[in-house]
Amino acid sequence: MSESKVIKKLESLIDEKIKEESVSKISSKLFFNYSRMVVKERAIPEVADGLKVVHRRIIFVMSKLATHDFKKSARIVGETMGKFHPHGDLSIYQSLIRLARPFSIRYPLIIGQGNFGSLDGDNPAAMRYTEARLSKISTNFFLSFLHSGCADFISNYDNNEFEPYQIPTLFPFLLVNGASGIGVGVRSFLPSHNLGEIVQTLIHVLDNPAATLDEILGKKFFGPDLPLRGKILFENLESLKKIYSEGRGILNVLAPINIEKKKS
Amino acid sequence: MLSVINRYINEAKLLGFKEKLTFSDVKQSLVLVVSVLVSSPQFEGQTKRRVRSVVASKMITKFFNSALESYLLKNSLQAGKIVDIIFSQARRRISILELKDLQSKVSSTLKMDIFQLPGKLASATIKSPLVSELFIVEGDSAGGTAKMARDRSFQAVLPIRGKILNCERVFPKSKTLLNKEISDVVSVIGTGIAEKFSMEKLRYNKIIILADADLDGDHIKVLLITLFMNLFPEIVKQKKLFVSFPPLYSVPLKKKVDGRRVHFFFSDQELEEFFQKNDLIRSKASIRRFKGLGEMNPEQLRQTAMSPATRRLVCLTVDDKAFATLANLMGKNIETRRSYSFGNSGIALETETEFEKRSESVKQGERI
Repeated sequence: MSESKVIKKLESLIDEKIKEESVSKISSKLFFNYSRMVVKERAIPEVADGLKVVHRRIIFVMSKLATHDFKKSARIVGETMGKFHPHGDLSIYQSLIRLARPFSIRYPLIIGQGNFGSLDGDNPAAMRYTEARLSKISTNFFLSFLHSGCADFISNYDNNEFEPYQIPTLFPFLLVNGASGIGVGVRSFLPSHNLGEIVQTLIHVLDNPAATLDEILGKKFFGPDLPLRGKILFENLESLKKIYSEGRGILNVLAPINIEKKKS
Repeated sequence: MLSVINRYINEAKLLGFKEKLTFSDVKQSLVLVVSVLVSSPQFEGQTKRRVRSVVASKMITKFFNSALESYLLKNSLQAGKIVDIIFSQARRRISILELKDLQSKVSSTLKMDIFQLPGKLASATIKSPLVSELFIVEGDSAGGTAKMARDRSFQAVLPIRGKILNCERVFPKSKTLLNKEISDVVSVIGTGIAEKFSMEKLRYNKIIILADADLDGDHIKVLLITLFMNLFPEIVKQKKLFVSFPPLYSVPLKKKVDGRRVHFFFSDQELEEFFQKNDLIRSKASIRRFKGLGEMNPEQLRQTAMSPATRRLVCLTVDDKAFATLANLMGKNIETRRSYSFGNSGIALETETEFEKRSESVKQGERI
């Protein structure tokens, strides 16, 4: 390298104008942006449809692609990633798997074809092998209003496509399927509930808008209903009522046990 | 004696310590005086440190163990105190062991790194601490672009993968070196850490954090700032750490404006101003929003983030609140973090995220 070139380079380095900012100011600004995004868009589900953003995008893609026939998971993931969700493919596939596993979610929104993993912790097959389609629950209750004009659509990240802002569902999926998520400084956990009980409760509340918790709990619905038939243990109805009225509490779960005796 | 105490702990259900006790735990904390008279005693060694009569030791064990057991059972208050002391001794012994283990691991990584820089580092030809620059780049895909875009004479590139460890929550700090990404950064910088830190060994004039312009990129920037503030506070104090802010938008135009066809903008405000100043209609231009560095061509990256003539750097300075702020944001205490981002003002939940901004635009009419 010639000497004049080096000098020119050094001059450009010296002339460079650099702003100064304090560590505390810049890091709290950056962290503030990030934590806000995590809480509002990633970790905590929406009340209206009980879905996180990834899940909603997957369901939306599938509502166009795989309502009745099985389609390759890789295709669904690719479509979701390219059109709406500019993040890693693995995290999208894992979200898809969660929605399809009957032991992860009370009423699966997706039916999977192939190895979607097991309760013992076996990994699901790679997304090029497995296939998926929407379950009857999603097509009948989730998507009935999506394409009929009452959903709000917003433009996607690069203004080329439209995605639903919320999915208008027939009944509150958040209560039925529950949700869990950890954001920054906040977290949410809701157990799943029985579909029939929730529907009964809703009818009751619609008929009697002033209904109290006493009228419903123990009569119309009986607490959480977990995907793996775990039994909820509580001292009396009052303690369960306390949890539901305060929105906070501890549920003790007794797992179903099956003892296999050794044949002598 | 150990067996008696173990049995007592089991029976009294004094939990709180899972590891196995050793005789040394008991020996260091309890002093017992036993008076014994033995005819023709045998001693151990030249210095006669211990009595070693087999008959005597058997007898003592027999009487003493039962006496100790009945004492422990009768005086539960004292027994509890004794057990507490033994537990604290045992805990101390185990933490010393762990520390030794950690030290050997850390020193071995340090030794290794002096001779061996990580393979991922693309080093510069001029290796002078007066001019060289180190770019720490988010992700391997952006790392490749940065390697092509740099001026190889004085700019080095180190790609790191994804979100690195949060150093604020690791204690002791040397434990962070067990993490591959962090030990890579430490060895590339060359100064060493803690007591071995020496500013003279710093291999670069500027250390520049280059992460995506999206919100995960913001998180990575904070994590890297935390790393430097924890392991190399001196580097930050001497204003050697910089953050590069890559542009958010690129706007290719049909005609040249200000001598260029493609313009880059670092904020929404700049974009607005540009359109107003030059009488251009925004909807006609194809505005492209960058989501990651990997999206850019090397030429674009050089122009916007790496070339000293055109890039935008922010130099970090340490103020009085710096350490406290990071401890609040990244530390173990959830309450302070929550109040920091939500409680103080409630702004966090009121200000709109990008997702919500987009939703406003459509809600006002154009449904499909």
